[in-house]
Amino acid sequence: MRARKKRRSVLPIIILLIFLIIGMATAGILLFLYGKTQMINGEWERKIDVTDTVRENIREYISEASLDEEINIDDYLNSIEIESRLTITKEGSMKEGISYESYYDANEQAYDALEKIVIKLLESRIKSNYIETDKSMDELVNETVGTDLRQYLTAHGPKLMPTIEELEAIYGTDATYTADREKMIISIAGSEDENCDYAITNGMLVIDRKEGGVIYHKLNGQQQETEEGDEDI
Amino acid sequence: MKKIISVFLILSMILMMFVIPVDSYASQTKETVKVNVDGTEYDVKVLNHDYDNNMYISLNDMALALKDTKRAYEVEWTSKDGQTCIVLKEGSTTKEDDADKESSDTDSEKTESDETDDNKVNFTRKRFLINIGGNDYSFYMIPVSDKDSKDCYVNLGEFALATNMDVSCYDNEVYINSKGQFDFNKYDLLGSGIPYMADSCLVGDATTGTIYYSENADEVVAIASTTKLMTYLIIREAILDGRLSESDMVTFSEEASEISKSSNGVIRVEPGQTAYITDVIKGMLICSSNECSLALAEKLCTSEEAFVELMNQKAVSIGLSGDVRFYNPHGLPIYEDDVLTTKKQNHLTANDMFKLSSYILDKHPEITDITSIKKTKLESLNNFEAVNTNILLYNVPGCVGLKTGTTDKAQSCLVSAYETEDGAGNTHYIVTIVYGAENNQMQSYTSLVLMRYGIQRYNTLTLGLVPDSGKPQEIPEDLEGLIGAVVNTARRNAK
Repeated sequence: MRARKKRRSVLPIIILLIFLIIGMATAGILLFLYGKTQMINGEWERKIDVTDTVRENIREYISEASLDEEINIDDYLNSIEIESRLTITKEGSMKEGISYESYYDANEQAYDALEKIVIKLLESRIKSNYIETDKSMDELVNETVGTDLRQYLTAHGPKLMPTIEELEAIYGTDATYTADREKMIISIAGSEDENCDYAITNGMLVIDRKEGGVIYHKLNGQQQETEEGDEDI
Repeated sequence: MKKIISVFLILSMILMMFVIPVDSYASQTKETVKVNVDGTEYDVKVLNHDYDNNMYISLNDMALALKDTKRAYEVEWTSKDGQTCIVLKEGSTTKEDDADKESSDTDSEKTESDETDDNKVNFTRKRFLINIGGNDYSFYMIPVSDKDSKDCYVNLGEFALATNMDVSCYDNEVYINSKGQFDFNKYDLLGSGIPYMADSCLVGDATTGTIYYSENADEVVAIASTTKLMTYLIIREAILDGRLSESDMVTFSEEASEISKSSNGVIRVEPGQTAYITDVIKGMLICSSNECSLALAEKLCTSEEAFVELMNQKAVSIGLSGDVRFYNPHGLPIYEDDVLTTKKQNHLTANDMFKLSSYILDKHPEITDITSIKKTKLESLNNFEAVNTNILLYNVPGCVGLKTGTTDKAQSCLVSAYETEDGAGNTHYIVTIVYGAENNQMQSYTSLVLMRYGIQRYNTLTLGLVPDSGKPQEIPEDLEGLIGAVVNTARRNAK
């Protein structure tokens, strides 16, 4: 009599376990299939190094007024980078543009370097002429041309960096996308669709575009945002 | 048979005289170009010598174009030391009818033009003395005259350089800013292609070692008689350390005498003939005497080979490159004594010659006392009149040497030096080196342009001087202008 009672109490537990296992497996499969594509959403940024361009433009500008190797431009020029922001939404849009703020900062850095170099050249020329003066180079420039050296260089000096428009043309994107775990298809109006591999590791998004691998960093380490109603898997 | 051969040879020679062009012979049609002087256009006759855009302008027509400016001049034909000399009397005004008349009765030089009915002019380009602003220049010019008038056509670039005028040329029109000075930058130099008229070239400040511009300066080239600068260095140091004396007599050997009597000879000497060492050195440097070079080498060393060894050792000791090799003290080609003979010539690079010149000018600047002489008599060498072959002595006031050179392989070469001072009274030498120019005219023209460029760079970079644009004080458009203007401001405010 007691053995029959034991068999009747185990069966529901087994059925419950089976449902739990199926449910967890389903959840695991769904997470495996769709979790990564949720992580791609958000704001990303990459750095565009314009140091070489700035260096070349400075070199060309000072070439006629300086002797070869008189000035080592790298002594005055630090690495100059501009930020580009990529926004990917779960609705399937992808937009990238230059950060205006970082562009103007970079421009200031470039002219900082040029200003220091020109001051160095002025000091060198005045010294080689055995001229003694108490005035700063900026004061002498002001007395000569009516503006300080930075204003003169900005108004009459060379263009040191590509314009924002030129950078947007290269790095800007306004596209839609679809993605699975490893591949995304980027569609830009008027162009052929681009099939790319992508990967997300250690807070970095790497997309293998046709111009080469592009690395983005998660902007400000923000967590993935979800809207109300989403299932938090 | 012999008669037939003789007739054949004579006829061949006559035929060759018509086929082979006479040096610098040319036949062109006079053209007219628009010359814009400060906004006003004038018609000026020009001749494009040999090629288009190799423009030679009429001095008479340019005088008319400039008559209302501060650059006005009058053309006067005169003579100097038995040579025709054209004087541009600055400040005088040429009247239209005067320009068509002979302006001087003194003319010992036959003009060689023959104007034909179709306005073609046959003439040769030859070196003339031209005096501009009190300075004598020697340019290849084209005299043209007919029964009523006499004119001379001068290369537009040389005219601009000599008059220091702001001249530019675009689309076969000439633009002159009479208030401005001649000014050009490295990109103008490159764009014009002037540096490519030679196999290699260089211009720099020999005192500081700064090179302002160079082209193929690492290329190994035959150096012809510019060799004699190294020969001078060895001899000069021997005089200073007592191995030789300035009162020594030099004896010319049989070999030196043979050279003097060959096509490579300059001063004819006999075996055993003697001369003062100072005259022999002048003969070597001023008129490039190969026999003098050999005689000096044999004076110092037991043999020419021993002297050449000294030359090569010196090259190493002063830091010249491994591309340097001397085979003789004069620069003539030599042939190896072998069945399969080879022709060898002294060779180095323009960079090496710049180092050598810098070394000599630093240690022995007295060389310029000799190399700056245009003409002199060598008393102990049969009163031989030594004439300097360096045309820049005439065309660049301030030029003090140094040495020309010509062989078939080396073509036309020139190492020249311009003496100037900085703000503290230190002497600087601007040195130009041109190797492998097609002919003497290209050699001198290339050297002239490079020298002017070097002087301009020196003035701008070292002295902070900006060429006077003749325009009202404006905001400088480039960095060179800004630096020059600021230096001038500092100079005005100086303590």
